Amino acid sequence: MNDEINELPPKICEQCLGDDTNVRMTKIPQGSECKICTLPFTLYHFKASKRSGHIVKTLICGRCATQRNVCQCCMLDLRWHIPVQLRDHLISMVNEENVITEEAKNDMMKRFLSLKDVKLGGAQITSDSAEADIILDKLKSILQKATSDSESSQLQIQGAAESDKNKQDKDTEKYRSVDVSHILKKIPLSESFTSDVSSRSFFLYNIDASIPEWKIADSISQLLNIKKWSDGNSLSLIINHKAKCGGVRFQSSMLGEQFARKVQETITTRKGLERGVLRIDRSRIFVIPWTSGFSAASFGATTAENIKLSLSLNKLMGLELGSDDKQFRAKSLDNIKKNKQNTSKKVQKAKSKKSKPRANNLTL
Amino acid sequence: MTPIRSVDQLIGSGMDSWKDKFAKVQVRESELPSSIPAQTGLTFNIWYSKWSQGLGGNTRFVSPFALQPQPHSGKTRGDNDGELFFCLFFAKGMCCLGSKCRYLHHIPDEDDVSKLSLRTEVLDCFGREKFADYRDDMGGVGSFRKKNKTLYVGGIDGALNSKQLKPTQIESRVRFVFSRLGDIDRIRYVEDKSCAFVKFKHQASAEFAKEAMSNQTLLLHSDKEWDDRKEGTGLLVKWANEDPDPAAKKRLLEEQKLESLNMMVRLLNKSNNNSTDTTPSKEAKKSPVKKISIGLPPGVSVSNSKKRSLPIDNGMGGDDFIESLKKLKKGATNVDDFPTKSSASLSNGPLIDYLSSDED
Repeated sequence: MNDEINELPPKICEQCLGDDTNVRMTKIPQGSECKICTLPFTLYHFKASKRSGHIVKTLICGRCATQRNVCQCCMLDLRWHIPVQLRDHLISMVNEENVITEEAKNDMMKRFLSLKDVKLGGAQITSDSAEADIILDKLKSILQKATSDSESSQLQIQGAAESDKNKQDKDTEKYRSVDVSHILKKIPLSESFTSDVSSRSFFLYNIDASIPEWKIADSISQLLNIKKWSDGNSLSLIINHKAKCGGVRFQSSMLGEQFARKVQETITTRKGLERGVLRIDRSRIFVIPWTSGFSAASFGATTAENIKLSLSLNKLMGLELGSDDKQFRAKSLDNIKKNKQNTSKKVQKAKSKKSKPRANNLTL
Repeated sequence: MTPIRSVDQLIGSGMDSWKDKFAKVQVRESELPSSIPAQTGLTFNIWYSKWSQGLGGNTRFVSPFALQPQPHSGKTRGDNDGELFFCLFFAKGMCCLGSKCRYLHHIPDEDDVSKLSLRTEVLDCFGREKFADYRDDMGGVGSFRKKNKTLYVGGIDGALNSKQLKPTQIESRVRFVFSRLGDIDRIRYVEDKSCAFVKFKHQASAEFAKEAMSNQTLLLHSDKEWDDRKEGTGLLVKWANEDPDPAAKKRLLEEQKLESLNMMVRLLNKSNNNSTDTTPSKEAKKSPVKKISIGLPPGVSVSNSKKRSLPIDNGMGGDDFIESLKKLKKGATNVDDFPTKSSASLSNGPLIDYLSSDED
């Protein structure tokens, strides 16, 4: 099995070869099994620099590398130095057709595929410099479009919100029997966020499921000017994405006070309560001090409770913010509220009863 | 009350960064267990380090060692040498070398991730090679085809020695142990399946946490079951499959889209830079290799056709390579003797005159 492709020079990108002008390479014919097609191939290994302790090996055979237009060592695209999936995704976005590098599942098929002389997926484009340049040109125009009309993307989100609304309606039906009043009771919804509040813990809500915890942690630690890793546990964060809310607890009440002072933006609800606002990406997270503290159980013990809690909080937000808010979220929530009024007046009444006394307490 | 000067000072007093100290020896060498596992079969296979011919027995156990992120991490020899990869034994809490270890002894952070990013496509954060497909049980090093940042955490009941806890308590324990090992994206505990899914910000963190938390117990010192923890079975930490929840799928798509958009911007920037600053250098550095690579038969390229100089461009190794390339080119015109001729010419060069199976 000494075929010619194995005798061709290896396809290795410059990043793998390192900055040295001389690279001393070792060649071992039939030295290894290709990770993609499982056939033996001529293995090359080398050190990127004389001092480095790492031996870089070719992991896939030259044939598989040519088919995918990737480096044999790092398996990144030879032209753009990006992973294959990302490249295919990019190209399919630009050309508006589905480009995927299909990989065979069973061993026989893997070998068969590797012996064919084809270019797979995005390799057809990136292996040809002219085509790749065309793609880059198209990319440019797409990006310009994206930056110039950001409204269109907002429209998209609005569309998403519409479909969310339908789902939410379904969820309310589904989880109507779930009772979360005992959880809501413990959440400090009647508290007001002021800059001189002294509390170690804060309740966060209106957290979209797409916001990862680390983003919230980052923005809080940035606000307080602390580094997350070096200080270990100066803040602990629990986000329940199903319940769309969470809590943050600081190590000391000092930090809590600092946090309350640093949160500049606040909004006033219809009931005259203040809510701190944390801006992350496009969304706003509302903050309320939580003097009694919290645990993971504060957001519901089961998934059903979590989801129900998120629905109730959504409804509450609709009530709090009213229609004067320009954010689409509030708008869509308002719509839901109207729908609710038509469909289930009883639930609506029960809810408003629950929230009203609390508000009254506050005004007193 | 004494006035407090600043928040930083307040925090700085309690916690110190791993950069300020040397890594600790986690276990003394004499205390390390034998590398041969307890006998469960008749013959020992030294290649796989496993017993065969027998019932196999239960291979699940609770590791006697555990990584304690804060006290254990510190500087090692690897930090001086510019090492990229982490110590696998450190992650398992059983490195007996401490600061003399040539691998890194700390929890992967942003800097490490960015340094690793070039290699992580095919190697994990410990420098082990990934595979094309996942193992059937989703354990092991993982796949280079999928950027998986989510871990499946199973065996929770065994890790708690069947201690009865509320689902939220279990969730907070899982959250506590995993959040020490990297930036968390989200954690979800599925109470009716008694398993958890932990998504990290970076894949390297997931790789690290997978090794660090495998076969660990979820019991705390304060539990009365703590002394019997070795009687349980440790956590099973594996790679997660894709979340079937439609909302999660939509999120994933959005994420991918965002990632490709970011990549678009980066690619465009790169191509702009290239077109501006490579034009003069191209003329200045007309390397001989360039010519040869042009003269090669179609479909053959030494490397990518970027305008930078080719990898092997001068010096002893390079010249031989060029020689062989020239011969290759000649051979291409004469298809019949191409393989033999090229292989003969190649095996003459010092670059490749290592023994091979053909020569034996």
